[in-house]
This record gives sequence, C-alpha cells and structure tokens, in this order.
Amino acid sequence: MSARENILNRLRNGSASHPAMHRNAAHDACGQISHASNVSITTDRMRQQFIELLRANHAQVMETDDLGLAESVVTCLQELGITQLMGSEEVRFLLGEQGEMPIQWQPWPTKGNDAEKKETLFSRTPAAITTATAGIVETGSLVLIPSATEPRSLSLIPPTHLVIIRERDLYPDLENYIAHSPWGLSMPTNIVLVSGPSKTADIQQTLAYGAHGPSKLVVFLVS
Amino acid sequence: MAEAVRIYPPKPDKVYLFGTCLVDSFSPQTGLDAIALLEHHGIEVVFPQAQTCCGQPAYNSGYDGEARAVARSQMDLFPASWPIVILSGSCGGMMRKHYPALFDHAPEVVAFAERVFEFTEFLRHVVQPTFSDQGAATRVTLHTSCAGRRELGIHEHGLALLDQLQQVQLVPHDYQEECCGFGGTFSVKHADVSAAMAEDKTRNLVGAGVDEFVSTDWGCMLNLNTTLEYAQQPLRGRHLISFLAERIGVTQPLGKADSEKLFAEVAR
Amino acid sequence: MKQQPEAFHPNSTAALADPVLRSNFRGAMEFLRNKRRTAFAGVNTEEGDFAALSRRGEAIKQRCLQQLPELLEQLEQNCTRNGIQVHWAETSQQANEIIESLIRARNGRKAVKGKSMVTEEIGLNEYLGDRGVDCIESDMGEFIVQLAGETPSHIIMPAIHKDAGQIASLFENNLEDTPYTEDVDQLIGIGRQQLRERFQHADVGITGVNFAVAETGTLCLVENEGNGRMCTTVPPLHIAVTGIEKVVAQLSDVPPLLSLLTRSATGQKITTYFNMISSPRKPGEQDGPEEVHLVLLDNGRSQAFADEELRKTLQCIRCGACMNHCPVYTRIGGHAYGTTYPGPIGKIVSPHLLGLDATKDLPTASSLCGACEEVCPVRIPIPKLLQRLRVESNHAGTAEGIVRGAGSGRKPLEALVWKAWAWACRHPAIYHRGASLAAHGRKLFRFLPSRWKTQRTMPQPAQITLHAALKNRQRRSATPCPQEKIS
Ligand code: SF4
Repeated sequence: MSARENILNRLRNGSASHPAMHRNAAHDACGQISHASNVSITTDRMRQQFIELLRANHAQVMETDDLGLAESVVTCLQELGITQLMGSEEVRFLLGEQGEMPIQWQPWPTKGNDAEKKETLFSRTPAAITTATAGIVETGSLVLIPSATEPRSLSLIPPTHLVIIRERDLYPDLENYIAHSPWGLSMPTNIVLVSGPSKTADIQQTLAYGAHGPSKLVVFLVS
Repeated sequence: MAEAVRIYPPKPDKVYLFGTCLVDSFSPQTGLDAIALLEHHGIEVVFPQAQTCCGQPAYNSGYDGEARAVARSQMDLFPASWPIVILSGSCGGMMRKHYPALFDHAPEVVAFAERVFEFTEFLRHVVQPTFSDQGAATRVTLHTSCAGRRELGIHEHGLALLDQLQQVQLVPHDYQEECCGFGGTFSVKHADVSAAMAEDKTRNLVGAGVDEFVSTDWGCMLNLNTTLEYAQQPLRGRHLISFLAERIGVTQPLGKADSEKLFAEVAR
Repeated sequence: MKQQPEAFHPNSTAALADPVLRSNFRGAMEFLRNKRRTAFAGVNTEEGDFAALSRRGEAIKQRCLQQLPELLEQLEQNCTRNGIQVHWAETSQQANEIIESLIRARNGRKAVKGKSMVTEEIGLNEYLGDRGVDCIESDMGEFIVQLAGETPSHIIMPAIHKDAGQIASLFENNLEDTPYTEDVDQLIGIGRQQLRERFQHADVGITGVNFAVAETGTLCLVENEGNGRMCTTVPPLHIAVTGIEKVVAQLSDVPPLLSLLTRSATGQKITTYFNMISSPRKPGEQDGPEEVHLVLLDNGRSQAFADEELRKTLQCIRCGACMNHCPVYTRIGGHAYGTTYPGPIGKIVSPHLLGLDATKDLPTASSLCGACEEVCPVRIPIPKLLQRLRVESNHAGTAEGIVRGAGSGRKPLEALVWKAWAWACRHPAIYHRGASLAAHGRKLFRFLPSRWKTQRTMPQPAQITLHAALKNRQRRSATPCPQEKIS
C-alpha cells in the first residue's frame, strides 16, 4: 500500500476509535472579535490606526490624493537619492507623463532568460512600485496580489518598495477582508500581506531592518 | 488553568480538615494553627484520623492505578456533606482537578471535588474574616505553589488575606510566578535542574529583603528552606496559616517538651 | 540531524554549568515573555482577551483535527487542481527521498531553505548534502546556526543561544573578507549579502508551511525576513514540507490562528510577511516557481492522533510560547533536549516522533508547574499530557500499544515502591505508625537519593505528626475538638 493509503487508514482508524471528541460548535465562535463594532469605527480612525501601525513597523507613510500622487512619489525618491523606478505600465500611467518626472522609468525586464532577468532585479533595480489591493487596519497590513503586470519580485527583490493604496480599500481586519474577498475558492497564485520593511531580531533580539526583502517600505495612502 | 468563577457556600458550622502528608510529618503546627483559625471563627473542625495522602505523588509520577486506589480510600473518609478544607494548593489541585479525571468524571467524585477548598480560598471567600493584626511591623513576600496558583488561583487569596494585616508589608519578589523547582519526584529525577530553579527562586526571595517568606505549600517550602539552609542564608519560609494565626493571636505553639510527651504516649 | 534525547541528563547538567548560555537564555526568554504580554494586553473581546481568543484557537484546531483524514484528501484535491503536486511521506526517510527525487528531476544542485522545523525534523540538510545537493539555510538565525554546525535551539529564534559577540567571531572565521563586528545592523547586512547571492542562483527553494487550507488548496507562510518569500518566488522549483496536522478547513480559520501565532511567538500583531501560495506560476505570469510541490509528513503524528487525549498534541501551531515560559527550558536551553522540538512542546511531541524509549527522560523533566499550559494559544493541556506520557512510560496506562516504546521507562523497584506506598496510604494504622516513628527517629528522608542533597540540606520531620498531636489533644482536652468519628 502507498504511504498515502497507510497514513489515511491510520487516521481513519484513529477517528473511528474516538468518534465523539468533545466539541461544541458554539464554542468555536467564542472570542471572535465582533465585526459590527469595528465597522462603526469612523474611516478617519481606521485611517489613523492604519498609518500609526505602519509607521510603528518602520514603514514611511505619505498621505496624498490623486493629483498629488506623482509629486509625492518623486519627492520621496529624490529624498532617498533614487533615480530609477520599476513598475507596471498602469502605474506609470497613473503617475502621469514620465517626461515631467526627474526619474528614469524602468520596465519589467522582458528580454533575456530567467537568469538574466534575475540579475537585473537583484543588481540593477534600486526601487520598485506596486499597488495594494487592500489594507488591513487591525494589523497595519497591505494586501498585495501580484499579477502578470505586477510580478511578485517587485515587492520583494529591490531594496526599496513603494506601494500605492487607496483609502477606500481599507478593511477593519483580515477576517473581514477574507469574508468580502472577490476570489472565493479560486485563489490567485499568490497573495501577500506586507506590514513593514523586511526585518529580523535573530541576533540577540535586536531588531534590524532589511534582512532579505526591501529595507525601505514607502506607502502612499491616496484619499 | 484557573477555574471559572466559583460559587461559594455560606459559612458552615463544621468542616473537614485534610492536613496533607507533608503538614502531618513536617509541620503539625500548621495543622493546629489552621484548626485554631477556623475555631476562632466559630467553625468546628473534624479531622478524620485515617487520612494519609491525597495520592498526588503517585499521580505525578505516572502511577495512575496507585493514585486512584489512594484517592478512593481518602474520599471514603469524608462522607458528610461538609466542606473539605485542605492545607496545600497542590493537594487541593489534585483533589479538585485530578480526582474527577482519574475517575472519568463519575458524579460522586465530581461532587466530592466540589466540596474541596484550599485553606486560604476557604478563609477568604467562605469565612470572610476581618483580621486585627497584633504583631510587630514586618516585611514578608508570598510564594505559592504553581499548581495552587494556576489550577486554583490561590495567589490572589493569599495576597488578599495578607493585605488585611496592617503591620505587614507585602513585598513582591522577582519572577514571582516562576516555579521553585520542587515538583515532587522531579526534584530527585532531575535534581540538577530542580536545584538550579530552587537556587534562582531563593535568590529572588532573599533579594526581596524580607524578614520571612510565607507560602501555602509545604512541598515548595521544604525545597526552599533546605536550599536556603544549604546556602547558609538566614531567610526561612513559614506556612501562611501559621503566620496568620500568629498575627491575630490565635496560635498555640506546640512546645518541645510537649511533643516529647505526646510522642511517648502515641508510640505506646 | 543527530537526535540524542537519551543524553538529556548529561546535556542538561552541562548546560546548567554554562553561565553564558544561561544568561543568554534568561535574557531572551525575558524579552519574548514581555513582548507576548504586551501583545495580548490590548485585545478586548466580550470574554476577555487571551482566554477567549485561545479558546477559539483550540476549538478551530480541534474541529480541524476531528476531520483530519477528510481535510487532507480535500487539501490534496484542491492543491492538485491548482497545479500544486502533493506527496505523502510516512517517515523522514520517505520525505527525504521524495524531495531528493524532485530536485534530481530538474538537475538541481543548489537549494535554499526557508525556516522550517519540519525539515530539521527529517534531517533534510544532511540528507541532501550527502547526495551532492548544497542546501543553505536562509533564515538569519538558521544561517548562523548552520554556519556554526549546530542545530536550532529554539523553534522561532534558532540562534537565541548566541550573543552578538559569538556571531561576530563566527562570521569573521567562516565568511570571506569579513571583519569582526558586533554591530547587529552590519552583521545582518553581511548575512543579507551572502544570501541574496544564493537566492538568485538557487535551483530549488524549500520551505515549511504554517497553515495549509483544505478548501482552497493554499499554503500559508508566516515570516519577518522575506527569505520565505525569496524561497517561494525566485527559484524555479518550490518544495513545501509540512506535518499533516497543519491543515485547516477553510480560509476563515486562518486569521484567528495567525493572530494567536504571531502574538504568542514574538508579540507581533502580525509578522512583516504573510504569504499565501495557491499555485505555481500561471501562463502569462512573469515570475514565481514553475513547479510547486507539497510533501505531507506523518512521522509519528498519526500515533498521537489515535488517542483522544494525546491527539491534543497535534493542536500545536508551533509558536514557542511554552518554551519561552518554561522554567526548565529557560535554564538549560534548547540543545540539551537533543530533539528538534525542545521545551514543553518537544516533551509531548517527541515521544511520538522518536518513540518513548528514546525520549523517556523528557516527560519526567518537568515540575508540572503549568506555565506552558497557561500561555498556550490553543490550550494544549501540556502538564496533563506529560503526566499521561509518564503513565505510558511506566506501562501502567490504559492505551497500551498506542505509544511506541511504552513501558520502556518502567523501573521494577520504583514500581514496587509506589505499590507499597499506595498500600500504606490505604492502611492508616501502619502509615501513621511509620510516620510517627520516622518523625521521632527523623529518618524518614534518609532514603532520598543523594542527588537531592547537591544543593539542599536534608528536610527534618517534626518531632510528632499532626495526627499524633490531634489524637492527644482530643484525649486531654475538655473543649470540643477535632473528632475522629462523625457524630
Ligand atoms: S504547545 Fe502551545 S505554546 Fe507550545 S508551541 Fe505549541 S501552540 Fe505554542
């Protein structure tokens, strides 16, 4: 018999010998943080909490609106001394005419094999910008759903990661977001919650940023 | 885990006393003081002479059969419906939490466990005394057994009772909630680890700068007092009950000559 | 990994004698305890913070375990539908063989590993290393530990036993062109440099799984550093390995468990990254692995599953809170246990993974103080399980044959002593005569092994017992007095 059959048989025998393990469905729900009370929090407070938590986790948060977005991005990059930015065509469009921007737009590498693309991403891409699908207020998290135009590497490999998130996409908590999520049972390839720049406390419990992922996370919260 | 809110009965006329094997052998004074305290509050104390041990040592060592036999024999000694007051947090935990589990939650065992009260819990919530402190100013710190603390929440009771004594300054010690390292046979099977824990605990007790420490468990106290003695530290621990009885002036010390005489009588 | 729980006694004695190790652990545990305390301080629910949340965590895990075989099949079905290939391994050996063959099939030579205790459990690094696959740990703590030729001493913080100075020397001596520095930012920078190189050129990324969602066929990974994301994004092949108990029924089961996990482990509301993987790279997508595999490992877990009480062991979400609060772990550290999972969780799970014969010293190495149970976010009654394993070890248990190696801890003399003791307890006349004699002769505790005395004096019984005192008092006193008989 295969390992699969052996394991499943053992488990089924185990289940059969103890069919009535004490459990109570109502029990299961206790401790659930009521969504109703969270919904009553004003958007302003949600927004405030979201910003505070991200900042507490060492993310930089810029509050802006549609008109000011491009300028915010440019200012931020200038302050960081970055002259080159990778991102999708959509975001480039959102940020307006590239000509007006004193930064060089870097598209996703389309030429070359995988190894060459990786080399570009690891060695010649100082910063990338992506959009966030949603924000989770309770934990100060950005929900990223990478796609063909915004690949996973954008939010991972370059040392600086810029994220655009709209205020209307804030959800009180992860449970609430999952309950409202549009994907149902067919999940996207990858969903990632990002709550700050990459960090570690593995050496003597001392927090250090930029362990493997971006050491700098800048969030543009668009009203 | 501390239990959910317990409903306490009104103050009864009579209670049973379960002395525990350690009080029996190492500190009869604690038992006498417990009786004096209860009598002082108008409660008659019945002490079934056939009691021995709650069975916890065997249970903790993984001898369920032996523990069950001992538990059964002890339960039989408390037939009336009076509360059973017990002079140790960990034995209290044994009777309240583990007896039911040992007997598959048989209704009569559950009912028995319901009647079991650790002494300080009983004093605080059932007797509800008001103390008038008659002792001199002193500083003490409280150590409770882990079983008592976590299974019965007795740390709270001890603190609440001591808080009533005006001349007693209660001092916390570092890592209060950490185990003293006794753990019954653990202290023998893993003596090194146990000793390291006891050393740390006694260091923290000494560090509190108190005149003495009080506890609700003789197990911990044997461990700590012998560790302190070995380290040639003057600090010693005393059972909380004896401390209380002395502070409110109800204790009746058992003199040495007295004990010699008693022993001679009993041994006959 | 070499597992040597048999050497618990000498190992723990040696650890106790190492002041640097003890102060490193004491400091680290202090830090983690405080972090956890703060993380749960602000949570308010109707029933009151931690108690209510942990009750919910327990309920979810118990419900999922109740349906474990069905959920595993559902997980397999949905993963397969999503393009994740599922493999089953009964033993470490089988898991290692599966992983090796997957790497071979792509001519892989270089592997990067995300932090995963289950791959420590199966000894994957060594297995692959012996067969020409270079497997590099990429979690900073794991990287340090691997460089030192050691194993993790904590399931969440693998290098917790080392201080910055020790790591500085390690880097200086083992990495090219690395000067000594105790600056943590610089040390992390050195690790980052080393490992980015590895990620870029790796043929395969290997990770564990924190939650596997049956309903959607999704693998969830929790981390702060980003190495898990690197391992699951950059190499063309991703192999995830997980114990069968990590499966949950649905996506909505994840948020409460995730919150309990991160708060309990490191005191964070959430980790920097929470990564949900549901398929390999789809057509049109620009990156991500071309192949994703999931290896489901039993390795003794089904043994724990077979018993209603022991099954609770499988509720564990590997947060490490029990070890952070354990007075034994705090003093001896993780290596002394000689098992992949140290501390309280290690004591209750290792007997199933390795057999009770090899691990019989672990269940007894506890004062049953209950600190672990108090903080466990899924309410595993660890002291009760330790007591139960002691019963199994003595072979006095009811579930004979369930636990491999049951009865191996039996000591005939010890068993006899307990039998005699129980007999005496049920024969009060004899018990009390003995106690009284011991009291007078003060010899009661002479039998205590000399080990008690290493740092303690002998306890002295009082001159008379309480029984004797009361008997006499009753005889002499006119006032109503404790009675022997109920009136
Ligand atoms: S036993 Fe509980 S506290 Fe320990 S690691 Fe598992 S979940 Fe965490």
